[in-house]
Amino acid sequence: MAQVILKNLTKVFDNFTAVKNFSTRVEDGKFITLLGPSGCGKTTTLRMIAGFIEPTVGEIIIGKEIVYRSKEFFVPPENRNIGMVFQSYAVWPHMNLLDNVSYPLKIRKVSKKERYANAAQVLEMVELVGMGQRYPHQLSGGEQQRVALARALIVDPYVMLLDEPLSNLDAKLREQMGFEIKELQKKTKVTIIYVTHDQAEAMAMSDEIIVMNKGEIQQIGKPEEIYEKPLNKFVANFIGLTNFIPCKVSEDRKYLIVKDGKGSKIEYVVSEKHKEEVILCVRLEDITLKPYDEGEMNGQVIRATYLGNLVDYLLQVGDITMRVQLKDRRFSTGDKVSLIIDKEKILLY
Amino acid sequence: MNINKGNKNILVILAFGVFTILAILVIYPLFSLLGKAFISEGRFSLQNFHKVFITKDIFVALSHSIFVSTISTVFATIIGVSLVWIVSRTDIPYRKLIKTGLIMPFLIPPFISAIAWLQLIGPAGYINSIYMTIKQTWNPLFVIYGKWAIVMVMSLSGYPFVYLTTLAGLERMNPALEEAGQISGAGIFTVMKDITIPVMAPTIGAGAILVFVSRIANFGIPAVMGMPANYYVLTTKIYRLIDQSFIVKDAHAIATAMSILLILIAACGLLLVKVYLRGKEYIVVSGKDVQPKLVKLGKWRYILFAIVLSTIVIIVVLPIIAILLTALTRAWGLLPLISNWTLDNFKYVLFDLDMSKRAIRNSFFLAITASVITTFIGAIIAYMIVKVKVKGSQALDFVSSIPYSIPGTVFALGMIIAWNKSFFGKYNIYNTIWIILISYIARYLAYSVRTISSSLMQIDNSLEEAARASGSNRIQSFRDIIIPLVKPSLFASWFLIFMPAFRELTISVLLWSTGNETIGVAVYNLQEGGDVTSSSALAIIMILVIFLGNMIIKKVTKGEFGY
Repeated sequence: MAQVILKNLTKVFDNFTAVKNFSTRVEDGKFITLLGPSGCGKTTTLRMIAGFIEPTVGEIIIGKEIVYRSKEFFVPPENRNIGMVFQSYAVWPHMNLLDNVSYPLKIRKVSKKERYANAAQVLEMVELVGMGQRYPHQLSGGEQQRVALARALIVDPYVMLLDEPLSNLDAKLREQMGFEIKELQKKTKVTIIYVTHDQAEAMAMSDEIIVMNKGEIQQIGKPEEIYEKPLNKFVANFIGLTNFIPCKVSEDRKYLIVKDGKGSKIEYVVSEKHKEEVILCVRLEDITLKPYDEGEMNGQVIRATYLGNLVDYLLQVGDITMRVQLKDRRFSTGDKVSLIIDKEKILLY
Repeated sequence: MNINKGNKNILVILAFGVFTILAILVIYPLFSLLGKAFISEGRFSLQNFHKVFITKDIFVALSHSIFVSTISTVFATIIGVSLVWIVSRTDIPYRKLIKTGLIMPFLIPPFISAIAWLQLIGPAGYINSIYMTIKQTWNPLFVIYGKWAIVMVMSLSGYPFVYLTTLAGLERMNPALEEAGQISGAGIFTVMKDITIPVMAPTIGAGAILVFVSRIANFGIPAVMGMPANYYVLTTKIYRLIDQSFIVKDAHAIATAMSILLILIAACGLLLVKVYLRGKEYIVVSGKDVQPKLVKLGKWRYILFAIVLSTIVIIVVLPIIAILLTALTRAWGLLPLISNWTLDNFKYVLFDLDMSKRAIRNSFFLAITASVITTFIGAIIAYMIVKVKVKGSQALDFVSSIPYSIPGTVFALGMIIAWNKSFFGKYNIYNTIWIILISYIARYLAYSVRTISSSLMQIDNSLEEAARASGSNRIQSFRDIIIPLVKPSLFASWFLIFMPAFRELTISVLLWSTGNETIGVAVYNLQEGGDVTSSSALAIIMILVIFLGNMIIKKVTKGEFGY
């Protein structure tokens, strides 16, 4: 059963199209992430689902209800039965934690006793036991975020929307809270739509990622699919670190001729769908180096940066530069090396 | 900071100079006041306070002060908050026009508002006259005098305090707080009740204190609308006492006791609100979040706009029109038909009446001189506080702000007691224009210190230090670096003092003497003397100068200061 269905969702501001024809189904209990650079439309999409922005065209179905259909209806945010965690947490400073978390129940006219009991339960779930009487200004950023999570969860919403909730936390806390949110989701089985520009976050937490750019969906898929089989250059570039190597396809389509001024040839069968010019994409970790011998690609190390767990090599290969990341620490600046590309990981665009 | 010998001497002289000035301007009058209040028959005693409480009409004035100030604060708060909501949370059209219109009351001196309202709705006012002519009756439609008239005008001239503070606060509040409320299921009005208003409470409270303190210190409104009906508040009672100081025994002593009480009441108001708000200091500065959602008024949009516009017209425009009509009419009582229009009243006050000519000259002289001197002194004090960081900077700041924080009537009284004596055998500045000038300098010192301080604080020390590292000494760096950078705030300070000094009444009404009238005093006297057409003409001239000055401030400071 899909909890959220979006059909052809479009939003135009004056002359600017922020979101174009966004369609997807979010299945019950799944964690899906809208991922993309600043300005790609992910937050606008989220806010349309929440009801804070009225779309220009399209349809939104939450639970089994149509909450928006262009020119027909628009259900305001307070009637959509969703939960939302804001980037700034938006925990109310004039209420203690119990009042903050139980507020949605108060609106739904649940008795004080019952809603406080529920609130205490949810607070326990987010590991803020016994802190009900405290006020937000007495809490740390991470703790405030948990209050926001608890408040969003307490109504057992159709879907929970999270708008870059981890960006205000420091790196270590971000990682920790990321895992905690994921754990929480597994425990409560709530459907989550998550917005971020951080691909590592998206990869770590999502069941499915929707990569967006300039208002349009670039690719929808599981993290492995997005990473290993990006559908276009944008996705290949946005996720992970990639080399983009311009090549010509050989006449018999059995080789790629690298445009490096040396005519290096890489044995690779090119399918019909590609024209004569292609971009060869290969991730930094899918290339190995060996000491110089007449391999398919040869070059010289111009920079070796020790990163702790890996070494980042910058190589001059004819006219072009390439980057490789390896655990292998043998090579240093000036060394002549051969590059071995893992043919199975080659992507062509 | 390494200060070499030469520089150190300059600083010491400056510090000494500042201390002397403050002692003369602030500390001496203040202690004279306290001394007079707490001393009776040569020794410390609370006799004077006792007399205040047992003298019936004084005690009644005390209760009247509390009454009108509290009630008008409540009204002003309701009006101010409602207007803020309308202006920033709905999609009312012509928002900018409305915003400008709503702050106009700030530009009009309250006592002139009072005069205008009297002319509009007083027993012999325009509305009543028109009604009586139409209905052919001697009975007016309504009689507004005394306490409700005072409350009304105090509310209408006071709401901008609440409006401006609340507006600034609301625009800084994180809209996500309200959105979180909506997501939780609350509709627009529930969100306002449960979230927006409680979070804004500290800000609204701050605005309310400002109104309360300014209303309880107000002289003009109760003077124009209360005294003729024998309804006194503390400020007008003090005025009356000083007026009759030749008749009433110990008048000055009693007046000082009343003054202390006035300060105490204002301080109590401040304290009450502070206690209520303790622990509720919310830092609600906006995050990266978006614009708040506006309530769509639908078909009510233009209706509400019409209502708000007419309210502005009634509150702001109508009184000015009333005064303008009176100024243009040949004689009070005649209907304001065009056939009765004349420019004679303006001609009279500008060219014929010696008193008003003097008053205009005096006010310009006082305003210009006071603003120059005060800016100069204020700049030195600000520099000492911010850059030199002398020990006791806090005290310096506090002392400079005292004359502004206490009610004008009280301050004027302090000046009278302090200076109504001969110095060195023959110099007495009482009954001269100099006592008014000195009062203005003391009174508005806080303006220049604050304005110039905040500008100085934005000039990082490293700018001066870079100059010193390049070889210039302290005076050169002051001249080449500091002065150019604070020039704007010096101008701002000048204007900020010129405007209130020009339109001032509360202090000069107690310190004036024949020949030393200010324009405010002139209007007031003409009004009290029954020469309504002349007072109106002069009032219109005042308003013109004020509006013009305001436009200039806005232009010169690019909108940073001015309404």
